[in-house]
Amino acid sequence: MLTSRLRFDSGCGGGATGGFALRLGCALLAASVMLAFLGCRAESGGQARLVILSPHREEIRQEVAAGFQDWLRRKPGYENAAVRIEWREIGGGTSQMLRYLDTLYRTTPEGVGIDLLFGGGTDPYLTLKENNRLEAWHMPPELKAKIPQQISGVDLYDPDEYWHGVMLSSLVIFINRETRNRLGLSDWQPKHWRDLGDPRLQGHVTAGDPRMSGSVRLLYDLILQIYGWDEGFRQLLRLGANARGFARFSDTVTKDVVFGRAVAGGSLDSYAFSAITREQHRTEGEPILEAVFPTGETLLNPDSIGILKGAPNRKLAELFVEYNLSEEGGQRLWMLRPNTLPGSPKRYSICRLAVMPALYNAEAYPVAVRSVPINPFDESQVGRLVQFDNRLADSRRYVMSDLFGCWIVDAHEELSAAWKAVLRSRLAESRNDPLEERLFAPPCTEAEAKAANVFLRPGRPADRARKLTEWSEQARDRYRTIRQEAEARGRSRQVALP
Amino acid sequence: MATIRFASVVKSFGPTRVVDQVNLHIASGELFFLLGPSGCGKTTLLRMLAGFLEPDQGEIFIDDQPMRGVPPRLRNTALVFQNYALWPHRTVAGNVAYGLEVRKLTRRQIAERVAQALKLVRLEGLADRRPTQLSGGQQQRVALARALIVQPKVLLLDEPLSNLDARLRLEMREEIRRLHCETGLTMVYVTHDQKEAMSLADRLAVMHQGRIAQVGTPREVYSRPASRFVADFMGDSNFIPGTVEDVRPDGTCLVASRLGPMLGVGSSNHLKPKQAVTCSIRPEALVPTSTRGQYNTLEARVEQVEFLGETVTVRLRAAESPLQAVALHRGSQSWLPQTTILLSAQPEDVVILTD
Amino acid sequence: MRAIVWRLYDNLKTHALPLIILAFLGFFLLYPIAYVIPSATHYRETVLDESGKPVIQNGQPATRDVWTGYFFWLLLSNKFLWQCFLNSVLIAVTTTVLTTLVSLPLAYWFTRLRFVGQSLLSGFLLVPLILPPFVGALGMERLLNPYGTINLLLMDLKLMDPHQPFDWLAEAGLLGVIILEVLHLYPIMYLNVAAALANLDPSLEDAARNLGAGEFRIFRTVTFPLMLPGYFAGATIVFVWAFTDLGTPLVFNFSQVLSVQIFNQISEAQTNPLGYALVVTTMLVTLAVFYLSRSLVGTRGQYVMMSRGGVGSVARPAGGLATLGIYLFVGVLGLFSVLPHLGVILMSFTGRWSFTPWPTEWTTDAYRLVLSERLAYTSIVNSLWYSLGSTLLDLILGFSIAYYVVRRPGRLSALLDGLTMLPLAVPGLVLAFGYLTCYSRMSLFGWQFGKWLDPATNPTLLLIMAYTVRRLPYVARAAMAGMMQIAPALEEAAENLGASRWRMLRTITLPLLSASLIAGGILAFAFAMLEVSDSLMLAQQERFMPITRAIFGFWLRPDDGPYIASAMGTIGMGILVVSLLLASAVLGRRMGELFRA
Repeated sequence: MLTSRLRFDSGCGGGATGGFALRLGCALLAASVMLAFLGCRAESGGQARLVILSPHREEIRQEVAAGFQDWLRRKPGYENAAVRIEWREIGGGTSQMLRYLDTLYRTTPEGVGIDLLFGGGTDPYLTLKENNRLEAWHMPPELKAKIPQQISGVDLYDPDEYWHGVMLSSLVIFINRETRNRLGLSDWQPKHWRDLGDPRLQGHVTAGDPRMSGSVRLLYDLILQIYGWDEGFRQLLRLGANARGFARFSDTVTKDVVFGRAVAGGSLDSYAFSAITREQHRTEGEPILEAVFPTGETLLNPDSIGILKGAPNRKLAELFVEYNLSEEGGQRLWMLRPNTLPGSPKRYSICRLAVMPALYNAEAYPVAVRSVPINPFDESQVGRLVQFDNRLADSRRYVMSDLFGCWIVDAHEELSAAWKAVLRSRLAESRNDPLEERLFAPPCTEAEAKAANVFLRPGRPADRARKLTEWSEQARDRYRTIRQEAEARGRSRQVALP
Repeated sequence: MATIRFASVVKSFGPTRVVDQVNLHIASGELFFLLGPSGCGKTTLLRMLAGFLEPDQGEIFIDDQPMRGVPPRLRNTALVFQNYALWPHRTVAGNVAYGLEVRKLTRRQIAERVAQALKLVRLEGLADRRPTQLSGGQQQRVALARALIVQPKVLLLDEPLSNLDARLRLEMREEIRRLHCETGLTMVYVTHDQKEAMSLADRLAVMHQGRIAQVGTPREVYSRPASRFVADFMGDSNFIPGTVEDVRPDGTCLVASRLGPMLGVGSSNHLKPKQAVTCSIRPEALVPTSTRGQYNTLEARVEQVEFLGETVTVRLRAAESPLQAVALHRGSQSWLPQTTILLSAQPEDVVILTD
Repeated sequence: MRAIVWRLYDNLKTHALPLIILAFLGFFLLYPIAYVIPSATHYRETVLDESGKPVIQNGQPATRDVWTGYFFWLLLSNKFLWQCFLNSVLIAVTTTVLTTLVSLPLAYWFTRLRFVGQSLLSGFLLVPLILPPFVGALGMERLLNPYGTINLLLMDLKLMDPHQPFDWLAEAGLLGVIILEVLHLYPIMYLNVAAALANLDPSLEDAARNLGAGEFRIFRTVTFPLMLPGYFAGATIVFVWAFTDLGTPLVFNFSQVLSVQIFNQISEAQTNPLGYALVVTTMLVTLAVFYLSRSLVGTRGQYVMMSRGGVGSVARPAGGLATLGIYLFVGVLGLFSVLPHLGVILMSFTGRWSFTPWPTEWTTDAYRLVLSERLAYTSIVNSLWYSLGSTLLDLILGFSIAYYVVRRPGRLSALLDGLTMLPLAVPGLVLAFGYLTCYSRMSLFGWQFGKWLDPATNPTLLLIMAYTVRRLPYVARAAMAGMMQIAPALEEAAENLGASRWRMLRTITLPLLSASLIAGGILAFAFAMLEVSDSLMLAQQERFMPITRAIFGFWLRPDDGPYIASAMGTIGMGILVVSLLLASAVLGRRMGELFRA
């Protein structure tokens, strides 16, 4: 009897591992399928969906989403509209997003399931337009009348209306007075970008990596445009030699100052202003933080929005752009304190500058309701604006980033060590230190840079790598030599002194 | 109770053939031994029987059912492992009960039979201990109880006593003999200890380099070894080389050797004159004699006498060859060191081996 | 013909388990990497004319395909990259050595000695595991600022010139990275070594003791060689982790390491093979380390223990002086590794903390803010869900792999073994980028199942799979080391008594392996809860965000950002502690056994 059962069982039991392996495998599959099914919570239906790729931060998103919904419901025909905005996150800033878009568009050029790109300055839109990845949208005439096309030579929106600047960004020198005073540098009060290169600030300046952040690159190109290539690069090298490190996110620069890790740094105005607002809100007494518009060296740059080619919900995307540009919509949202006027934010002060000059009208919008006190259209407040050449900046973006990256960021350890050695070995505040001259000499002429730019463009990675290898070699050689010379000088002086 | 049959079983691990053309028949209720030096393939044979390995060629039958493709769990063979393989995370009772749990008996039945089984191996009262808290002999008994409780068709024992001390080993031998008598199970017992085999086995198979060298009762194998290897492995023996002079019709055979003419029994029927052979004489078969016979008389010099209690072992030398003899201590006065004496053996105690 | 099909079916059935696992790993590990790797040697080059202007064809810049190994050569020829490589190796080697020095005595004491407050103290040792790295960075920054707590205390003690504070984060560099790695990673080594020691038959040590060997000699000649499989399991993980870790160098803003260079390259907008070449190099190094450790264990033979000793019988009571010594050691170690946590918790309750060693005003505002956010709740639920799911999958997979690899050695299992370790060598960012790009457009016979795997629609499955794949090595390694110490006879005995394989696994193998599996599972769970890079890449919508992504989002807020992030981080740590405590309550004595040894 037992034998017959035995034969029967062996028939389905199979080989050495068969039955058990199958069961284990099945358990595995079942577990993963179960997890997946349980994990997929039902999609909420019945809402219009707008997919937006944006480097803007949480609080802007929340406010914009709520504001857009309200604004839309006030529009005839949309009283019952329900919109769900899906913010796409891919774990990086603007450049990461551009790469993401690039990957997607390469596989499906007709559309990628995303409606809008929102924020990230202006230059991404120049490239996107060039590559035919944007859809044009024309402002209604009454809106067009309210927004100038340019501000001090800078386009506020694309002449062909492929993209529109919805807010303005500026750059300020952001200072932590307390740190400065504790370091015994209370007489250091910057007026110009070059003040960040003051030798006394060695190790106490915060800076960003232009290869990582668009706004950081903007700052460095601004310095090059203000001082000219040679002097500009000298200033960049001094800034780099003073820096304690190079931040990856543009707002890390701001936070470095807020938390006293550094005395000063170049920061986006909105970051600086919201930090100052928060400080005022939290504490009384002498403010610690200060934002300085450098005299005659101020830049205004639009932060834009554009409809991506093949937007799944084109109509809604257009309405969203219109919302951002309209006075009762986005424009008020950027500028006003929470819960002051219709269209103002509900919870956070966003501290951004509107592109619509009407918002700076002191009668309609008194300073009490505004979260940003300044008026960029008024030269007496921000100083003379720099005629910033966006095209020039765009044309040399690669060579500028890579020169700065190779000579300053990647070789930072050597650079700051050499600078420290030079400073230590110097007798007094001597005007012309030959070592200092050589340390901060520009790595190449503007013409050389322009020639190199060809090879640094995406699409020639091998050429670029060769160039970068050459530069980093040169940089390290220079810094090491100067450090050794400075140390030798210091030793000889020590011998001489007693 | 079951019969077991190995039919031309072959097993190789890589290039080495560990089991080579094994044919065996084990009768129902037999206590059968697989005996051989380590590496001879006896454990492999056992593991094939249990189903952990499949033969490359040939077939194994249990109760005339071919076992190819039958997984171990369905063979109903219970194996007692060399190191017992007791599960450290289960109590003694938990270990013993396992086979019954698998067979889905009720909790009451299990408890009853575990108690019985523990009584059978005389471990009452240790049911709740962990295996690590037991002595070697106790662990051995647990392993036996665990195997016996499932009422297997065949009980397999893989060197079960090799980790025990001599006294315990003797005790456990008795235990196994008793269990065999009480249960009447077919048992296959693997060991390299020929004393163990001879004292317990109904029949045994001596294995050498993957082949069966000889099968038989312990007495047969001891006194009529089929080869020099078997003779040597089963106990001490004196080997005397020579050549065949004459094969007689009664099966005996006359051999010329350096120590004189020898008459013995051939281990095979194919002996021919002029063939080179070895005469094997067990030490206890050599007895002192006063007269020189026609054959089987050796003249040897006593070199050393070892006292072993009831017996003595005598080391001798004859024509530069060492010899050994064993005699009862009583009456061993004739063995005087450094004297030359005459020894003789009965023809039935002289085995003529061909290899 | 029929026979061939039959044999195929038979083969399939025999190897069903490894084949299913291979298919799983193939789909969720190899395919995304394969999708990314060719970029290391291939790019599309823009064609230039003599004047250096791009040639235009059909209105588009002309391109041509280039296949080259130049970017691997670059690693050797570019001094900066070479320096980065050397730094990475230095960090990994030093970290491994230091964690060994720290963990070996710890594991030895905690398994071989008994002393007052042992279980409490061993729990304390695992504290670094519950440190969310992002928030840890915040805590570190607050303490190590030029005018942070540590410097201000030093200034109060007149040990530092207030005008010349030391900038720890900026200056400590390589050393800081190594110290932080050691503080973060020693629990991994400790858990592995302790598990190996617990599985060791104490009579083997007694044998040596009996032969007159001193305690250190016993450790060196008996204990250590026998626990080598466990040690190598831990050491491999620590080495590879330190070699590929991104978070810690970023905290210290130390960019001269391979991982940060990869990170920089990948976030670059243009398609540049360099980053991928660096990724491939990293993978090769890790695979080499893995095979080295494997062959080291292999040549020393497999150490199979017939039976495990009772833990209680091994431990000797420690003397008063020894206890004091242990407390001192653990105290100093714990104090350092607890610093970031302290910083985070302080931050979360801070009302005002400006140029003082400690906050001067306290508030629960940050918590009130966090709890008013829906994101806080959804992210907690999401994280628990993702982590539990992936841990469960990891346990099933890890157990199956360990069983197959240890019990059925062969080419298939060697392949499986290698594949299992591969995720350690693949930076999370690479895998996540692969996940992001490779599935969304997949289809099978017109069935667009890729949509289902598109993180843009619903990243749940991909997140769970990403966590599962990335944490699989920990569980599998732990399980394999445990498996090697279970004698096959223990399983054969069950089979011989009539148990099916399934039953045997359930009643014999699984209980014997439970200590190792629990150790691996806890690691997998904790790391899944704290996973950053996959979460940043894959969780693109708020309702699918896990805790770490929520913390990151809060952290980026300008106003109360860091404070809210600290509050969220503290909540996250709390959840982790509670879930570990729950696990220990459910598992009862076994958990204690794991930690005690």
